[in-house]
Amino acid sequence: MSAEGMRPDALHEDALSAYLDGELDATARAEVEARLAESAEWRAILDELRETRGALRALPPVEASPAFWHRMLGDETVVDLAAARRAKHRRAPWKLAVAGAAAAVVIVVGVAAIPQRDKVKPAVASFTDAHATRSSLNEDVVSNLASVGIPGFGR
Amino acid sequence: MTTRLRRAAIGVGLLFGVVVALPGTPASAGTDPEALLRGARDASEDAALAGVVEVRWREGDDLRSAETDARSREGAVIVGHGNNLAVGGENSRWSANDGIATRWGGIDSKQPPGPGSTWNLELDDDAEVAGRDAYVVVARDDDDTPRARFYVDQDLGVLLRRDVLQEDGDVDRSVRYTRLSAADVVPAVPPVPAFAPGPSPTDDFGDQFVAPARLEPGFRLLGRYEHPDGTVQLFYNDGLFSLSVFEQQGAVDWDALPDGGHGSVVDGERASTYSTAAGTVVVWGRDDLVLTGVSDAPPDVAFGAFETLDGTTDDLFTELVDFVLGPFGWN
Repeated sequence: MSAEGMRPDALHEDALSAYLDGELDATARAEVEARLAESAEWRAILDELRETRGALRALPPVEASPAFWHRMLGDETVVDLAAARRAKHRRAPWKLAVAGAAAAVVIVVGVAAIPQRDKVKPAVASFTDAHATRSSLNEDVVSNLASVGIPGFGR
Repeated sequence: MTTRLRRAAIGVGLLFGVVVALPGTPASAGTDPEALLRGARDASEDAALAGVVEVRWREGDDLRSAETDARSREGAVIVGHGNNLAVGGENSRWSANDGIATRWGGIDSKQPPGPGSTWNLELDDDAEVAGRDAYVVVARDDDDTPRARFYVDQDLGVLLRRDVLQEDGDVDRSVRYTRLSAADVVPAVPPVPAFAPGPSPTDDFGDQFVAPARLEPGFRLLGRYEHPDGTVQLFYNDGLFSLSVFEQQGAVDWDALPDGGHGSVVDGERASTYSTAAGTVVVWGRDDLVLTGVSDAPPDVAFGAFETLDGTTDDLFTELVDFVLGPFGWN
């Protein structure tokens, strides 16, 4: 932008805004700086612009609702930007599948790693004989060994 | 006086140097029930006998029976034959099934409690067994209910018959001579089978196994043995009856148990119970252990003992009484 086309009274704010934004070429910037040096009014306007920009930057960002954009643009295809942003953060289906498979693997490995109790088939007939035989060492030998001497339980 | 109180009184008397007259101290071995049962423990080995022994046991409403033969002479006893054989000698035993023998030897266990330590003994009217005169000793519990009868030969001192009674007085299991000869018999020596490794005494087994020193009402731990497959056997005796608990790590394979068991509960756990010629057999599981209990005691007494397997903690006083009285077999 050139400062030449500026109306000194009407457009000096645009020139100063462009100056603050760094949008002027070297010649226009030199002219604005010359004006600023000569005019207290321009300097005062420049100070106001700086304060206004600082105040705006300090405000929290406000997101417009989809209804606002409908009203403003009259476009039915307007995108709910907030929803789009939330969707962006959602996991893609394939990511969910991978995560599920990984969890399943972890569970299977974990269950396999837990010691499983061995199934035991007690040797009941042998235990019965062992008890009877051991008993015969402290008690009457014949009545205790009699059960060993007959075919029967578990044999 | 209950058994525990009597033990306590005896212990106090001895500890303080006071002479206490022991109830049932043998006055005459011929008529004293405790002396009769003590003598019968060894009489079979000392006598020369040959006879037929019948075992009867109750399975539900049925009373089953089977016979075998028994011979003894000069310290050797042979029961059964063929694939079902047991041989006893001085401080050793071996039993054989299907040609494989398991030997118990070198067992140096604690002395068993006296026959009257848990049970109240009294003489009943004389009886006859296999044509021989017998003293009859009745064992009663603290409720004065007869729980066993022992028939002791009046001449040889040998145990001729033993009946274990249910609470209602019916016979639960009986072992008796049906024929007996005290002639100068010479037992045939059976062929020695191949010996498999047998159980060995141990004090060193894992913390996963339990081994309480006592089981209710009066069973005392006499020995702990480790079998070749890692099974731990605890052996208890209460003076008249004995009880073993076999412990294995794992969970019961209920589908692999022998047929004939009926469902029951031990200490709140599922169990399977069998009535056998050897007595009551119960299989149950607890705390990653498979437990098999075998006992020739009345079934309700055996169950009561199994229920206390989780550890009856002996108090210091009881241990002290045991220490003092144990060597005499009075506790």
